[in-house]
Amino acid sequence: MEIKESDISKAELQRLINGCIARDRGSQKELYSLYSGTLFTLCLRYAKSREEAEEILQDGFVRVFLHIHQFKHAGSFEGWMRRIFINCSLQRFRENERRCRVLPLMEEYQMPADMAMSNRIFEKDLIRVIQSLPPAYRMVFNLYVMEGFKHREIAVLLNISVGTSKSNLFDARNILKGYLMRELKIAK
Amino acid sequence: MEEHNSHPADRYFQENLSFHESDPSRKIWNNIANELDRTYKREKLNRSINRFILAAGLTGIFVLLNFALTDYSRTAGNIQNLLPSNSAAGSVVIPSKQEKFTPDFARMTRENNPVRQKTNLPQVQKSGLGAFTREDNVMPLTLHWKENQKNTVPLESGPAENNSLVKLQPGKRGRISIEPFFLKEFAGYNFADNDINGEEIEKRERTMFSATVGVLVNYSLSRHWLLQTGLAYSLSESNIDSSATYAKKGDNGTIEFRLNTVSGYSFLNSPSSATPKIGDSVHTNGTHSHLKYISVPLIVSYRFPMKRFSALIGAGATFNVLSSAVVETDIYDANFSKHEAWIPLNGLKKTNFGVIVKAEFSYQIGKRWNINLLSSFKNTLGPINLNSAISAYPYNFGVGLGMTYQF
Repeated sequence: MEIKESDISKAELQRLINGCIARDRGSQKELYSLYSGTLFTLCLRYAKSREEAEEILQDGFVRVFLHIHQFKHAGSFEGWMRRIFINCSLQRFRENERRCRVLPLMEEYQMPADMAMSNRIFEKDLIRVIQSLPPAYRMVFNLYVMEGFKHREIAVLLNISVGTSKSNLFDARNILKGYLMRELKIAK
Repeated sequence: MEEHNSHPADRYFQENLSFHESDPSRKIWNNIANELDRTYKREKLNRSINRFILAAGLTGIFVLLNFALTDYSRTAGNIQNLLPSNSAAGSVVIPSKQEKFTPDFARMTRENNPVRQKTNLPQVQKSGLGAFTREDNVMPLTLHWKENQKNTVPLESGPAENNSLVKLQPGKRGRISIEPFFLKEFAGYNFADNDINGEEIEKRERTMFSATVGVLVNYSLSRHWLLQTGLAYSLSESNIDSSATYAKKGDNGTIEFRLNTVSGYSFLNSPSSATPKIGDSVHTNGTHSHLKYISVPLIVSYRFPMKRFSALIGAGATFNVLSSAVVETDIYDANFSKHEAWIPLNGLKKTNFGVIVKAEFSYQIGKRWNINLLSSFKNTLGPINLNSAISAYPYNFGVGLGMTYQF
């Protein structure tokens, strides 16, 4: 999912990284401006609300700036940053789970009311429908579909069995499919 | 091998969301910047505390080792410290080289008044500061004193020429001592904005390193009061955030890239050979300003002596002369090619005055040497710069180590 690194030259990216390693506030701000849009979308998908996504974004960028000297230039810089943000999201998911373990039930799932009334699907609506998924479904869906993790990797990350991961993905897809079908019917 | 099944719903979400960007609130960047500032300050404070603890620990170890390894047969120390405080009559035995001096040893000899040897008493010599040196290394030596005559100690017995009163007058300290020192400083600036850009300039500059090294000459006015002066060399390095600098018309009509810092301004050289036009910009990165001052302090101090330890507090003024002011930066042209540059920093006053408050904790490690733990606070009385976007009043808090040699 290379989005930005093709837009800026390697030399410029290196300059920004060097500036961030030197704790230069201007470089940090430039890097933030460059990647905050993409990474905020990632955070929105993992969070249950915009507020929570902003908290993840904030935590993630602070971690990026504090550990940027550990970036080894082995892969893409954006990939390295995405991994940090996914880890932040996973950490928050685990914390929420410890605080209040919610067992997702299909019957309890409610589509956001304002979405069902719309006659056109916007990207922000897709994000909102992902956000409205039960947390466990949302995490599995994001990790499997959007990030390309395998079920056994997800099972390790979320401390669940491979079967649970597959089952959560199946349920998440059903919910999302139902939403899409309903939206398309309304549109017709 | 697990296969990644591509479901139509998955593809729909991937296609629509992979390249989607959402704008977070503007406050997020401010929150991140504040959080980073807090973290950096915490890290810096932790580093400083660790260094201070290390320095204090090393000093403590040095002091303990010095105390444990004191060879009392060579330097008997101040015998008056061994005498009982009630000035009653008694005796004290200076141990031989083979015997370690301990408080128990002193107590035992005071109470029991042992006479180790009646004959062949060793020679005893006075050696400054009321201390005695044993010339032989074998025999312990018993000294007696009479009531209320702590300064007069007759030898118990011995050769006729030594069987006289040995004067235990306090040693005459010289009035002058010198003190080389090093201070690691935590520096900052107080500001008064002179124009609208001032706040922006303040935000993007932080002091990274500051230290002072120097020599103080101490003159004892009395047992407690000291006058201190000397010469100090201070270095301060600040980091300036990367920024774009735009070409503007200068006071003399030429078009130049002026880089403002909290302490002054520099004119950047254009990375291209073409004459810059108004509105042209260059990008700077890795910018550091280096300020070096030579200072002459004049401090009045009060000393609290506590046997080998002493504490000292003082206050005074410093006269500071600017020795060097430069900006080090990397200038990037339109192709992001880097041009390193060291440029003079203008707009600084050549001299300024400041106030200083200092505290010292000192431990005597020899007849003439003391090791000192120092702390100081300095603040300039006026701004250090002229014709700048902001008026900067630097201050710093320093901790460090020093050694005093008493003449």
